Amino acid sequence: MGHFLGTFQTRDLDMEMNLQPTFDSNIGFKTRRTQRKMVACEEDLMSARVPPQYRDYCAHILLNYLVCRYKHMPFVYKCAHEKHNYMNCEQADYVLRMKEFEREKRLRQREKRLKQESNS
Amino acid sequence: MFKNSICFVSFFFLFLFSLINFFFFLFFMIYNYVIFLEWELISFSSMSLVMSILLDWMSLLFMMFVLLISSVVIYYSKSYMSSEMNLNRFIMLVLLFVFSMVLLIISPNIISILLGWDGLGLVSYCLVIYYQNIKSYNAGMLTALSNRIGDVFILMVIFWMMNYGSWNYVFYMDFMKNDYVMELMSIMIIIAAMTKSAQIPFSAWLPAAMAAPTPVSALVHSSTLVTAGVYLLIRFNVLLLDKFFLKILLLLSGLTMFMAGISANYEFDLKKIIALSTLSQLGLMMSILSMGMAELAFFHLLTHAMFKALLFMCAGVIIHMMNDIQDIRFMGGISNFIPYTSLYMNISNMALCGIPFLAGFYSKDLILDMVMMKNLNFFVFFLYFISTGLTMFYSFRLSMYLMINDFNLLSVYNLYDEDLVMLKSMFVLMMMSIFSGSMLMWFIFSYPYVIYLPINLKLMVIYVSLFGMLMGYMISSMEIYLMNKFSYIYNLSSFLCLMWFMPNLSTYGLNYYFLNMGQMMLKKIDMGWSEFYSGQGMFMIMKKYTIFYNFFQMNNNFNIYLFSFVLWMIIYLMILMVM
Repeated sequence: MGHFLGTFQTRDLDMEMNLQPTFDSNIGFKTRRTQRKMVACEEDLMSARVPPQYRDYCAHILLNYLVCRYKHMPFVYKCAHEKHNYMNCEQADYVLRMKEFEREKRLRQREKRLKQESNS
Repeated sequence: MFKNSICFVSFFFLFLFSLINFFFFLFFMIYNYVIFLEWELISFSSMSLVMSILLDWMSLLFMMFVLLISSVVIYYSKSYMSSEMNLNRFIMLVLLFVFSMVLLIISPNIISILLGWDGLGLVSYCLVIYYQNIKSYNAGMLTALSNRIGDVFILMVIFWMMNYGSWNYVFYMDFMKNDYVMELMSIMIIIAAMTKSAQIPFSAWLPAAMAAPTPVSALVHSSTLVTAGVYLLIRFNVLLLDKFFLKILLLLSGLTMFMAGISANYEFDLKKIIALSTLSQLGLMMSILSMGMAELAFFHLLTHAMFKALLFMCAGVIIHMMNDIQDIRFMGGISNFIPYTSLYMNISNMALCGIPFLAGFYSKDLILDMVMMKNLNFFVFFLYFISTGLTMFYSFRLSMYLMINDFNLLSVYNLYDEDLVMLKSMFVLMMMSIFSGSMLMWFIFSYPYVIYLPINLKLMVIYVSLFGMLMGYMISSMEIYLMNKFSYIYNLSSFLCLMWFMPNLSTYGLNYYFLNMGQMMLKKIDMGWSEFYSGQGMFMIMKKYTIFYNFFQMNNNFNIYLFSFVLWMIIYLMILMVM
């Protein structure tokens, strides 16, 4: 459903929701964008047996939640705060990815428009 | 008297094992433990036959649910089956059933899976034909033969797996994922799971299996038989991702839940409505599984097991009250006579619909949210949401027929008194139907799912539910003359209410043409031409010639001897004259 709405009127651009950015990350920005930093270190994630698909930029908050779960099991509801933190981080991450997607879409549209103008 | 009975002993031990399993589950969950036990039975020509047991949080939690439901079902049976002559035999069969399911749950080995799988098929046949009448014989045969297709596919998987030298499939799932043989096996596993979980071409047996006693239905259709297929696919989930056949499964399971939702609205048999709702929920589980979210399918499997068992047990009480009538058109106003059961029935119905903060809400809403987050096409999307609306539709219709509408037909059914044994057993499940969703949500998901949707998309579930509720109200208060209007669309109605003619496919469809061809062959070939030429025909020819020769031999032999003597004499004379 999200895919349908997200790619509405951009079918000719051949875009998928899980597309990686193809343009230079600084096009159109006045300031220089820096790369995000991974806070959680690999050793911690491995020792906590976190599956690879969860080792993203929110993994350090996830580790907090997992530690809390470990401490309070079976009364896991006490970790609601940590869980909420993790969800907020993931939500912010999602928004960031969708903004990147939108940027990619508009840049492609711009590229296409420029190409058409130069042809005509 | 009750304390020493087989029911109480079975209940006690099953409940105890269930509690033990729960504590082990917590322990395994905290420390992320997995225990794998192996006994080598026999080893020959580089192949080893190993009996193995896999204990992880998933198998322990599932076992806990199965044992809990079976314990309360057995406790309930003491009262429900009180007029049964062979109660011990019944309880033994139920225990065998539970044992088969436990064997299936803890096996990481395809041979012991087959043992559990076949045990389920066999014992379910014995339980479906328990009442021993023509209807239950037919239903039992349909159930057993439909499940037999799955058994055959598992057997074929066993044969193919011989190539690897062992039957512990867990060892090969990661490494042999792209092997051609493994792909074949995964298709076979999917088909086997589809037969057990009654997905579309094999759906007919599930409503037919309602011929079994109600406690058995509560056990079979909630946590054991039908979920075996889902559980098998959950175990094989690593293997099945990115397979074309899985996309077909998504379509078939989506259609199954749609079809079951529609058929439940046409149905008037109380138990069949609940069975069709089971089918709808199974479709939901299978479809989310085919998108690769096995944990969600497992979560829904567990919560669904609780409220569906409760729903069947309430139906059992109502059937008792109605003097074994199952038609909902004869029911109405039961909440005046059995208020507690009506309360339980309402709670389980609402949990089924996904009313917020009951068990079904947590799993179903999460599944639908994940469906919205995924990149799916509109067709599948609408199948999901229409089916969710249909769930509300038939549940509300059922509640209206049972509780709100006036009572019909029987005048003395308010003499029934609610049974304390049944109520106690249902109380356990009622509490679980309320709290298990939230509890499991906290326990199972170490890694929570992130949902981020527009408000209208998020509220879509509420919209379709409200619309379904409205439709349920309108359908249940339908006047009799409106029924005549259905005659205009008789063909469509019969298509929809007969589960898209699937019972015909599984029974007449499979038998009719072959039996008809057999009868034609019998008439035309066996009793026709081959008889004409070989059996009867040869006899007639022989008879004719025998009569002909008899004519020469018996009746006129003197004349013939004389004639042949004269003939030979003439020939002899002619030879002499020529010489």
